[in-house]
Amino acid sequence: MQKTTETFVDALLKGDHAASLRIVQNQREHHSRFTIYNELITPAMHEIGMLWQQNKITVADEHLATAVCDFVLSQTEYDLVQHSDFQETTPKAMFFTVQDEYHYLGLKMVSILFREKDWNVKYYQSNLSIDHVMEQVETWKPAVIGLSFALAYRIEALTAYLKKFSELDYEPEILVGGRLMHQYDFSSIGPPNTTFIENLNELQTWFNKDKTIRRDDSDGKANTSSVI
Amino acid sequence: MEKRIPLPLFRITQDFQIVERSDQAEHTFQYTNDLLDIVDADSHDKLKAMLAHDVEQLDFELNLITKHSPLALYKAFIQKSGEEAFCLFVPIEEQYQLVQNQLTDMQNRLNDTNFQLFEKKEKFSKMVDRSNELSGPYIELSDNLGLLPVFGDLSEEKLVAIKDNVFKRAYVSQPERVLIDFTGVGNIQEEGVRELKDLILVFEQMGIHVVMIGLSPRHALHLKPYRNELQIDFAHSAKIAIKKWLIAEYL
Ligand code: B12
Repeated sequence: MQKTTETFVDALLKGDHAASLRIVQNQREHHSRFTIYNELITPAMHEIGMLWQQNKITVADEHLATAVCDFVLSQTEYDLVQHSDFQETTPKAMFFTVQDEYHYLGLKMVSILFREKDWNVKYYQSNLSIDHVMEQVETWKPAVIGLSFALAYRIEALTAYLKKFSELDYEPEILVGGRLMHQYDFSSIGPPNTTFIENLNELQTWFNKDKTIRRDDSDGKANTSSVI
Repeated sequence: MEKRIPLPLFRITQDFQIVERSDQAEHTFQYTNDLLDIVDADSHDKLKAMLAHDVEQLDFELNLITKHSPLALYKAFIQKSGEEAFCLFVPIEEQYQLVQNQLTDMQNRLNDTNFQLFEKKEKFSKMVDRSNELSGPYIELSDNLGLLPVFGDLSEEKLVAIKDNVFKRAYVSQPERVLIDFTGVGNIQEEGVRELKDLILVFEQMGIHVVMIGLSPRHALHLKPYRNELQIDFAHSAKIAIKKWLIAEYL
């Protein structure tokens, strides 16, 4: 997909919505959303980061590329939203970025992948204050809370959110993701049911594990699944 | 070095040690001897790479840590001078803020115009193309006579849409004459007339004679300016034209 990534980066930087969408739609004919997010869109945004490092583009260009990328992501979600049909038993997941954090493209992909797996998803995008988050969590009681951060100095904010979650009167699964996951050791922070996820492959692993557990749950006893 | 310039300016050594700074530099950043201390960690590599370039003067964006903000976007202007370099930092955050807000608005609007609308629009324009194509079927009345009835308003898009099919069919059947029937035409647009003229000229080039039929006086008025230019006949109605050419052929 490397050649395609180059063309995609070009289209993003030109602000060409139509071309960008066409590339992704063509890829969709042969590839899953997961593969496109993991092997086309994520590398494309990273390449854009590299171009800034090399002084070939400016932050203004990054803004434009982000707008187009966001548009394209929305389109990959569209056919899902149309067919979603939530029941009471559907597990719930909510997603947001920590306060003052506007890097949300990765989080958006993750939220769409949850939707694809028939989760009942609330995606709040960016910059959600702690109070607002806690209010939502307490009333809606999601089984999974996913949050994202990319700005190194926002780690304090992350810690504050995690602390609040550990005080909840139920135990949701907490997923924390973002580009910094491999740079720090987070194992000491967050409630025990917190998973730090570095990339989409790790998310896939989490999904697989989660599926087994849920099946066990519905069978009555844990660890009695016949799935090998 | 002029210290009173109204921007942060630093004179540094090759290993980023600050030798001298402007008043504004002192005002904006925490006091330190190492320039890298006020540069965001994720901008260190960029700064180093840029300074390693073999050019005397350069400018690029950099994220800096100021007294007020843990991350602020600046444009750095560098002038190398022997073993040392002058670094001037101009804040650009505010300018971007404006662009950012506009872009966020645009983004939201784009998302609102959700895919449904987008798809409908695509489908609609395909339908329009299709309907335009169907508004000008080419009918072979005999080996020598073709009929091209045009329906609806005469627009440029419509003629473009029907042309392709019509020329292909006419080329295959090679009639002597084509009757273009205007009985079903509503309004005529100026661009439509121009396209029509081109269509007629191509027929002429193919050695096919064009006869316009079913023209209302209003239509005729639109076509008048081209009358002399084009080798076309006018017959009043389809009935007369068909009598004249088709029936004559079989008599
Ligand atoms: C595009 C971009 C922007 C866009 C925002 C895009 C958006 N809305 O998401 C814009 C132009 C708006 C922007 C603004 C800024 N940016 Co910026 N940006 C980037 C860039 C180039 C790419 C980010 C990206 O889209 N990556 C693609 C996504 C898909 O990857 P990802 O986030 O890692 O996500 C993947 C995984 O981490 C995981 N994941 C992510 N979240 C989650 C959550 C869960 C629950 C799970 C399970 C998994 C998961 O899955 C994703 C899928 O693959 C990076 C450079 C880089 N290398 O990252 C800089 C970068 C992150 N930005 C940076 C900076 C400094 C800024 C600004 C301060 C610049 C400025 N001064 O204007 C502002 C800050 C805005 C704010 N307050 O948040 C710095 C951060 C430095 C630091 N010390 O932390 C970086 C590293 C660039 C740099 N080298 O300096 N930026």
